[in-house]
Amino acid sequence: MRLIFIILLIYTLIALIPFSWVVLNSFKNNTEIFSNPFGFPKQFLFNNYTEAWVTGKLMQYMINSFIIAIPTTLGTLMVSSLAGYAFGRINFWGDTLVFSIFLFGLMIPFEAIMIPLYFILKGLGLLESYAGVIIPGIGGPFGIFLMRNFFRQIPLELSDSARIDGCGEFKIFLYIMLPLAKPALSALAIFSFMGSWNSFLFPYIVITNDAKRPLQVGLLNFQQRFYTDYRLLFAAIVLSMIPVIFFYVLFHRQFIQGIASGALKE
Amino acid sequence: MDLKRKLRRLNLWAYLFIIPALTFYSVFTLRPLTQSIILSFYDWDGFNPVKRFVSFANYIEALSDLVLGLALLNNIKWVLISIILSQGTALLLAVLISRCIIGQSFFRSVLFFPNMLSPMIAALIWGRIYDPLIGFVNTFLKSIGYGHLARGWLGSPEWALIAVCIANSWRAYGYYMVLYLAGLQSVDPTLYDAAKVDGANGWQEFWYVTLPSIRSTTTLVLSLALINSLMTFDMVWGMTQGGPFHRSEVLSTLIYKTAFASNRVGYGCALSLMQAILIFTITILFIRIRERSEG
Repeated sequence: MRLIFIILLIYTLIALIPFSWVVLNSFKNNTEIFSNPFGFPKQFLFNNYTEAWVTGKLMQYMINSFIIAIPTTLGTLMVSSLAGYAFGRINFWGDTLVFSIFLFGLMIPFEAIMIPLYFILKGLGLLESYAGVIIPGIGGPFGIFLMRNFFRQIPLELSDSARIDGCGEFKIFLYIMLPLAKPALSALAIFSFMGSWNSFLFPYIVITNDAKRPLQVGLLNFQQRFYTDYRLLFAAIVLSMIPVIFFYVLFHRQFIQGIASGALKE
Repeated sequence: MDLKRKLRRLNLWAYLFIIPALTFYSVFTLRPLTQSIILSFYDWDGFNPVKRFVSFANYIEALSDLVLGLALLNNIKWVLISIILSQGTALLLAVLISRCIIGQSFFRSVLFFPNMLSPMIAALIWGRIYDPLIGFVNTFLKSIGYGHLARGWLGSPEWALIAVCIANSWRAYGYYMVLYLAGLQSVDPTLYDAAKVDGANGWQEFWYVTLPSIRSTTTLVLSLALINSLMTFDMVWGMTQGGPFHRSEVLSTLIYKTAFASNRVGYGCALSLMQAILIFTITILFIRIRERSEG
């Protein structure tokens, strides 16, 4: 028993080595990164961080990521809860057919739609704009599936009694079902925010203007610009991990449970 | 009167709830998919107003495309390496964590963390680890007296793919670990007691009790790992962009380059559809296997 604990502890320490190496080097200057690769910095250089943040435009990239991820998440919540409610609670003509069309979407790799999607966005004049990344990112079969599964679990009596009281269908959805769906909505919000924040390929093809690039695309550009300015690269890695760590501390339970229940697709 | 009642039973108003989702889905998923199919029969550079119909020429060209063969081979290598690395790590850690009495949720949270990082951040970290001058690997090798083994890992034709794949496994294992942990929690504990009574050692217990009990989880995890491996893009792009000399090229990087760098839109669509069919087939196959093992 104690052996297992010790093995796990050793493994955790090994897993943390890359992080500590990155953090320590982010405070050194380039000569010290060469001469003292593993040790503590002789002097903590915080201006690596300010340089990466301002000159390296990391601040701009992160703001852009928020500008894209927040509306994407809100839009997904609205669209998915509406459709998920219909699929989960209402028997209507063609429901299984339409639902299986959505399910089919789970199997389509992004690569298979990416090329024409680029030209569709070009035709709509949405290339090089935030909207070009936000709008196609809204909805998606995963959220509909998640919301449908949740709405199905709510007992029927609740909506029936409201219906007898003369409540309209949309009112039932808005005032009775949606407040009950808070756990599912927050799970969906976490996943879709994280998905939008981490996505790379889609914003990469839509936005080539550096001023509008989100963090993930900006990081690639950052790496190419400062390829040999190691101190800035290390500082940039730490800075871009900070929101993730913050997010993880707040939501790690929901995240791990979401994956374990099979709700999340990588 | 009768018709009216019938119509009411069809509940067509429910479509008002679905129309927003259906609109986004049709315009930004189904429409591009059908256009992809159509474009795959054309020769088009993306600019010329005239698209040239070439029938199956793109698909026939793909059959003898050496770079495509190389990319597919790299994807297969990628699958094999990541099954050994990320699946092995994930299963080992999941078993250890499930047996650990103290600190279970601590280990689970900390060891899952790399999976929270975006592929691009992971690529940036590992790009530094493999750096020829200041990289962790090379400086470490030099400090323990194995400096002759140091090299530019990502620039090396032999090592580039393996190096990227190791980095990716580091980011990926946490996700599979959590799935295995969930599977392990559903194993009937009396089976372990029975094995103990029969005098099984730890290894035998794992081999004869644990593994057979989590078979459905293993099938699920392997299918996800296989599909993810066939769609891998971000980390390869962030670390090597498929180089040197296509030695770390994978299907997705090749599709991207064909359509957006070489401006061969039709051929790119054909390649992307071949990838989609491959993934589709594997998904269906695994669903069948799961149904059979459960039913």
